[in-house]
Amino acid sequence: MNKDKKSTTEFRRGGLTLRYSLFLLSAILFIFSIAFFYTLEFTMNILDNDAMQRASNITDLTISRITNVIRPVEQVPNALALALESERPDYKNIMEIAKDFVREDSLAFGTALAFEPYMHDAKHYRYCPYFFESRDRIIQKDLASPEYDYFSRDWYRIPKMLGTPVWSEPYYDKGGGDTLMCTYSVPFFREIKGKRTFAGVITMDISLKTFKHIINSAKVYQTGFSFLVSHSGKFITYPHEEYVNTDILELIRKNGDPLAVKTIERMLKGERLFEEIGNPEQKHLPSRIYFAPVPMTGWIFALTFPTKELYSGLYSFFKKLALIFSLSLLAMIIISILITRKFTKPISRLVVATRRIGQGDFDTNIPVYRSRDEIAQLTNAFSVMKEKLILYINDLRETTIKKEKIESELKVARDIQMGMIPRTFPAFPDRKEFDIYGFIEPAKEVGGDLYDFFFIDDERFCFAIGDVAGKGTPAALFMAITTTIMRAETQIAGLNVSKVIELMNNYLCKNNDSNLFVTLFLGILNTSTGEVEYINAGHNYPFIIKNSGTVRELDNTHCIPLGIDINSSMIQNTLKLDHGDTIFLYTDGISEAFNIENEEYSIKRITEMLGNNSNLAPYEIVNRIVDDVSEFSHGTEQSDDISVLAIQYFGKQLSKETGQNHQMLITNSVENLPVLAEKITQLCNDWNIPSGSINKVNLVVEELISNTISYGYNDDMKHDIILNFQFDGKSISIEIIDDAKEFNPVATENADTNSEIGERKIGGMGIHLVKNLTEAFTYQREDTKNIIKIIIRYQ
Amino acid sequence: MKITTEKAAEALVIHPEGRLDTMTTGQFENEVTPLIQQSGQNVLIDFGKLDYISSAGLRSILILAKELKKKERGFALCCLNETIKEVFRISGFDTIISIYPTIEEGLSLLKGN
Repeated sequence: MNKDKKSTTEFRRGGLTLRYSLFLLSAILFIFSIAFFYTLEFTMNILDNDAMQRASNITDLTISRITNVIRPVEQVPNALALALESERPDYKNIMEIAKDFVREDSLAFGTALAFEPYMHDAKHYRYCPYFFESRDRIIQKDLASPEYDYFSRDWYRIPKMLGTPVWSEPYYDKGGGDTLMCTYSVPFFREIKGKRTFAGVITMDISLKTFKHIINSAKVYQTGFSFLVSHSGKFITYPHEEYVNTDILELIRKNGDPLAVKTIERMLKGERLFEEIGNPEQKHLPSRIYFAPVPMTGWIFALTFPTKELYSGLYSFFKKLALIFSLSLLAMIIISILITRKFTKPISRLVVATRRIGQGDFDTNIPVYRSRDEIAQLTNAFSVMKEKLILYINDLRETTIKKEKIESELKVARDIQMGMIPRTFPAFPDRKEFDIYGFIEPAKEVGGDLYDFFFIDDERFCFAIGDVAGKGTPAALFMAITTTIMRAETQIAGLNVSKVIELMNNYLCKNNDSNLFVTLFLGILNTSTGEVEYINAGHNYPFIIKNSGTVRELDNTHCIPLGIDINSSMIQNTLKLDHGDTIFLYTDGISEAFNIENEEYSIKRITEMLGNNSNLAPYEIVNRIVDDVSEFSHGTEQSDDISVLAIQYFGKQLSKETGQNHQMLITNSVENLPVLAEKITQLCNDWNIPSGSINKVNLVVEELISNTISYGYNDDMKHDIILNFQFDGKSISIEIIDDAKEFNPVATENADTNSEIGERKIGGMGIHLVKNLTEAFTYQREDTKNIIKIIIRYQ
Repeated sequence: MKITTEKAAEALVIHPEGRLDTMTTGQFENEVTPLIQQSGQNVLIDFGKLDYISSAGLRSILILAKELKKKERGFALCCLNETIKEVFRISGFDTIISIYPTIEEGLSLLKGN
């Protein structure tokens, strides 16, 4: 384990260092963020208030400047109007004063004196002299032309109507001053027949060109600007000349922020406000606006600037603050990593050491950590654990070596044990008088079950099944002794079953220090007569399956097992087997097999199984029972050895040549085909069929069955295929019944037997052979079954 | 099944014994195919000790015959028992594969090719 790996284990994902650092970091980040945003909010409020104060100050200042310049413009016509209302007004002098004022005042641009019809003198319907400034000279103009028609002009009409001085809206005075102007008109009256009657107006014009300089000088921030609107909302001044005399609401509606309309409406009502709206010309530029009415005139002064300029200083400040914050955060992470690493380092070392120990390197030293904290306690605990572990593993190693030795010996024992039991089938292919099949499966490596069979002489056939009490090696050894002495004593004692059993019992009782015993069923079958002499020494009752299909237990006598009582008497019985009868023997591993629900397989179930399969050969019966038991006890451990032995007796009279029936069964696996072929061959031999025809039968059956097995089933289940053979001396009929999917082999197309080798088709030859080797070949479908019948003529 | 081979001057002689059926065909193909590919000689299969052949076995023989035909190598069978002979007759294989009564005849005729 190198250094790199060590460092990665210290700072790996999910490691303490990383986790603590992350926790700390998140907490700091959380707190800092709250502080940061609170400060930002707070500062923005201050800036806002400051901006409002500034705007308010500038507004007030500008308004007072406007008032200052406007006041003389109002005062002069006001004074002159009073003069005009005197008994005998000196028109000429009055106009001179007005003219002088226009000349002197920087703002005043022109002045007019307009009379009601015939009010100046009886000759003049209209009378209106006008003086205005043009290139530093005063020019006089008479406005009393019908074309100009001053009666209809606002500057005349409105004060006449209201009877009070009025500031006009900005307007371009065509035919008058010919410039953009606002006019202050003061009405004057005359006493006529004791009634105060409107006599005319005296006006003072101001040029907006001059006026705008005052307004434009009022600015805030970089791009802020101010403007003046009349009370009806027309721009009196605006930085862009083209908007002067246009409507502010129209501009806002057209280009600006539509939400600002309400604010502007409030502005026109004469309120004083500080609001955020979009820029009048650009809706997407949020701006602040401050406005206030200008006294006397009814005008409104407004100051606006983009909001971002208000905060521009703030933003750069906060950028710096964020940088400082990030750097301190980084520093904190590094410090926290260093600190946590200092604490976790002993743990990491311990992890490395423990991992090595875990890989079996017990020479690794647990790092010593001198402290009183929990880590030191953990380290000490690991040291102790390591020592204990070494002791334990050494112990275990020795035990394992011993156990392995025993196990390998047990395996040898099992091989020897299995070698003692005949397990090659068919066991006596040349003996037609009976068929035998056996099965044994020990629960542990070696078991106490046994079966055995052998010929004593040419006619007498000895068979036995037994079960030694207990399992494992002692039982297996006892079983080995039992089979050995059984074979030996049978040879010595000859034909007498009770003598054999007696001798065996003597031997097993005498040499039985470990108090084992064996249940045993021993029988000797006379293959010529079907007679069986037997003794049942405490073993499960075998079953007799009669050729008629009835099943019964062979329960007439029961002696005590061998190896218990040297003096026990053994009662011998006799039984007669008829052609086709089967004797079925088993050990309690079958009847006492348990399933998951802890239910017993039971003798009842064996009886039923045998009843349902009574017509089958020993091989089939044994396999059915074993499969059924294994299915029944699926999911549980095999609790006891399982042994089964079945013998079907035919007798000498079997080899008749006519009128024979036989049924065979095969489950759907091609691996079962060789056994089937052997059985068919044996059957045909029994029926004395010549070998040429046996090959034909085998060929036809193989072709049909392998076809069904390979293509007929869509599932993984086991399926039985039934074969019924009938032999009448001239021909063999075979009926094949399966539950595969429907397939009619008779209706298949003829195989290719003519093309050149290159073009010759490879498939379809099997059915072709069947068609050509059989006398008859028919197919029918019945419910879910395919039934094929074939007849092969005997040669 | 047991398969033995023998290299004669004229051909590679293969002696299968027992049954050539559904179960044993796989083994037959696995053993015989590499032998034939390695040798480059003509091939004679001696059926003298073959008891039985089914369509699965026929299939193998046909595949071998096709392959050797493609490589322009001679291929023949000899010593067929009566049942196998009948199977070859029924299947029409006797028209595309040369069949001789004895090994000697088979070898001499393969040499002629």
